[in-house]
Amino acid sequence: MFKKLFLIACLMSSLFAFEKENIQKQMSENIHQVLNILKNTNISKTEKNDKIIKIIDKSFDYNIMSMLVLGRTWKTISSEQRENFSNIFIKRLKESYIDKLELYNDQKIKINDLKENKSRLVLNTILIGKKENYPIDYKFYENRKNNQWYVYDVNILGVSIIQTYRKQFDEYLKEKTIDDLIKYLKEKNLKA
Amino acid sequence: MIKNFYSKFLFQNPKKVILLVFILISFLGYYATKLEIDASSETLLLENDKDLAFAREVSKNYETQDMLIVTFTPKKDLLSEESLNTIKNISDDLLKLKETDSITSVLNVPLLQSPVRPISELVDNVKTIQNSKNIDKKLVKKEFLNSPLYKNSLVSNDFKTTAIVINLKRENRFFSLVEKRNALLKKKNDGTASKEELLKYKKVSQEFKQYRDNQREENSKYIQNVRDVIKKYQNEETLFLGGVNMIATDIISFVKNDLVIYGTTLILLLIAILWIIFREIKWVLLSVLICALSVIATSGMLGFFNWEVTVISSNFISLQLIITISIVLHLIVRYRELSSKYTNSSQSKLVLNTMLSKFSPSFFAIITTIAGFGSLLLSNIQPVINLGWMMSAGIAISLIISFLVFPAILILLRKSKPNKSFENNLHFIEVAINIVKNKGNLILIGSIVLIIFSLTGASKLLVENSFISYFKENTEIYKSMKIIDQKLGGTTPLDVIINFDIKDKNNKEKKEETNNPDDMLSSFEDEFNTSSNDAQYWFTNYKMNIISKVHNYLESIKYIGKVQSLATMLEVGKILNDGKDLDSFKLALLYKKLPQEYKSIILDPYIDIDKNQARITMRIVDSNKDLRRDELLKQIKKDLTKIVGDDNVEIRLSNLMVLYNNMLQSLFDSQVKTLGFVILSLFIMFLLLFRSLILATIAILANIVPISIVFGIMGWTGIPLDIMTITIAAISIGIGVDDTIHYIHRFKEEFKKDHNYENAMMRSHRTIGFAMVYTSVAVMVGFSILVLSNLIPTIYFGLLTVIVMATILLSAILLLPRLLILFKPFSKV
Repeated sequence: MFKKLFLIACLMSSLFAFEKENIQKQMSENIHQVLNILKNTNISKTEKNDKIIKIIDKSFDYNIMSMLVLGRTWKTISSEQRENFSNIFIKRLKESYIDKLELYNDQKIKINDLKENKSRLVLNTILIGKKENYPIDYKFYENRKNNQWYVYDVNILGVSIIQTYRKQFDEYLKEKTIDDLIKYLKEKNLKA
Repeated sequence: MIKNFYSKFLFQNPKKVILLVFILISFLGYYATKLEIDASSETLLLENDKDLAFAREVSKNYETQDMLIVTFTPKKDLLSEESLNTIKNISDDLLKLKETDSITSVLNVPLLQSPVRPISELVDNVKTIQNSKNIDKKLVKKEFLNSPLYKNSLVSNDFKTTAIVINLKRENRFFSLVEKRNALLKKKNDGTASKEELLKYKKVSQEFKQYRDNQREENSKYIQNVRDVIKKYQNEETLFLGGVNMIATDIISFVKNDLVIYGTTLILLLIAILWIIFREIKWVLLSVLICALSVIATSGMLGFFNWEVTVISSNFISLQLIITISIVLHLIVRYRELSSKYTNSSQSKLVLNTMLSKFSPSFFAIITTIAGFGSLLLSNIQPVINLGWMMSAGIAISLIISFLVFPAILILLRKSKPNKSFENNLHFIEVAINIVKNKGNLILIGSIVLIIFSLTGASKLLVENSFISYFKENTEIYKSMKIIDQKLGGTTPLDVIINFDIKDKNNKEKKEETNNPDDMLSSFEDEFNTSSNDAQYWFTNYKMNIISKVHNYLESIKYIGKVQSLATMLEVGKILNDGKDLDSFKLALLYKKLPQEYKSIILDPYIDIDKNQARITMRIVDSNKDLRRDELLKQIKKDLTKIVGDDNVEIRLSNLMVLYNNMLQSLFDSQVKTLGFVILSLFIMFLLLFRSLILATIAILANIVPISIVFGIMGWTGIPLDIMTITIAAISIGIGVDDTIHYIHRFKEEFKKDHNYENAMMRSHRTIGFAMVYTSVAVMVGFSILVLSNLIPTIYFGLLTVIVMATILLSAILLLPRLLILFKPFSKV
């Protein structure tokens, strides 16, 4: 179940940045696009991954995600460290997603209405399983510079991806430095 | 004054005195029936031990349950229909007993790898042998033998034995009473308790005791019921019952048995010996009567004050018998000596002289013995302190009863000529005289050899408390403990508690903040901070890594049996996740999705999210002969500090393993201290008594040399100092000084006659020497019966007491007179 949920989270993040009124519509279009890539048996695994990553790249705001997972620490580190961290973290995030994508098999998704929560938008979707339905929430924020909406977090069954990373990095940084963390993530990426 | 008491009061009203003593003792006799035995682990723990408070807190937080384990070794294959049916029937029968909460067995544990399925399917539909029709037994066997959850704990590695675990209903009342009592006790000790609170404390303490008494009874009934169930199936298969609760129940029943059987056998043996020595029925009856009265009176007093007999004090009846018989024998021998010497004296004169001449040495012998036992009060351990009180009070009672009943009855009897046939045939005394006279150097060399033996032995002494080695190999408890210990994951429970994130670095971070507030980031911060403490985010890599590395370290130690923690589940998760570690996100999802039923099995015993704490439980292999408990605990602490050195966590060890070790170490420390105290106080008493430095030194030497043999023997034979054997030294000193005091007292008297050391020695040997031999022989024969006990420490106690009594006697009739002749301490008299 978790693998599948994860997969769906990955699928859903494979969207383009949106204008507010298009979010819902574009979501359902794009999701099928990604599903088709996955179902396509004619292309290699690497090709599939590349194609999907291209979609993810446009819809996710990695910079804000990198900021969010580091929390207050973000403000205390140099711009070089920020860049290093973002690069390595984005790579980690993507690889983790790709890893889950490989496990995909047929699933149906129901997309509910968009809800507004303060200055953010939350799109609730439901993964329809054999016995139970699982809620997946996509959280969008508006980039004031281009007035586009981006995914900054996904909640699966009430578990936030960003929060999970935040907690980990927060604990790690209590005893170690940001450079240690960058090194640690690099090693993890190599192993993966 | 004493003379007046005897001649003017006691000799005039012997019947009244006897009647009075009898009335008093029948009153106490009523309370003797209320004497209680408590061998529960609770009695052995140090009440003011911080680790005990911590262990109780852990037990409360993690809602640990007491359990019993039935080991089952079927004749057929473990997973055969027949074997599974038997397990089912046993489980059903056990579940009918009202104290049983649940049963865990191969039938109802979740099968996670038979076959391996995705976690999502597992959570939706948990398979067990019991709830599935078609199971692949080969896969199930493989899972039981290899799964980190079950291997070496639910089934043995040879797949011949399995554990049927009986989880007992949790006693919440116990914890609430302990808490209530401890809160009031703290106030009482601080001096801040009001009158009302003091009253309440008394009430709660009584309630707690009452509760424990009831619990103990119910527990023992319950275990009997479980045993009855097992007996039903015993014919076909091999079944044993084990578990910490059972150790206590079995020790209690063994102790009770010992009290009854050895108490009575000891008396029978004493009767036989007394008859062989004196050949007069009156001496036999008189001795037995005084012994019986003393034991009843002391037991009654214990019952009256609600002092419970524990494992440690279970020998008190035997001890009191020794001391009482020693007092009485000295009186009898003295009376016989006087009556054969002064054939024309009246009975009252003979009795009076006997009492007066024996009063001072007996009194001092008793006082020094009390000092020996009184030293136990310095220990920190309640049962040991109780033993100190019991014995001190018991000995005083023996002295009073002997000095009242002996003359009161004797004065009513007619004088008779003593039958000295035994004395005349006893060549031992003459041999001893000969050795002291002619082979003095041999005695000194022998003593030096003994001291070397003892010192080298003492350096090898072990302080270990292994419950399994308390029992003989043919007892059921031994067999069950051995199986559980060696095949099903160990015996004594030990916990490692990890407190995460002990330093809060927030302050530091705040200071480091730049003055460039980013509004957008701040608004996100608020959003994430509100949910950051949600339980599902607890499972971070940082914590999982620490738990896993501590778990792996503990598992690598050969003295540790089964280790269980969240890491066990992580390992299972990895197997189910195609060999990849479950990451924090999956763990969070698992936590959210897992039904409470399984959370309470695989998560609740090992993590406390509110307290930001993890618990790793394990059992120590108690039967490993190389196990050094204190060293092991120290090593674990040291290694773990190193392993998690940079991890911002605090590690603490807990559970019975730690508590018993604390108790034993404290017992050992107090032994060293009290032994020093006893020797010093005895030396001071000898100084006061004999008013001579040389004499006091000689007396102390004559005691230390024979008693040191206890440590020599224990060290060389590898008998460990444990909660039972650790009291032997203090007890031996208590008993040993009597001979020294009686002998020196007599020697002094004899020396006054002709100021010749050798003559004084010979006369002393031929008079008091007999009393000393009789006392020692009676005690030795009596105590040799203890070797038949079911409790190994009782056997050691019996054997060591016999050996110590023999060496003390030899020291008193060989070394002591030799030293007296050598140093001539009475020259100025």
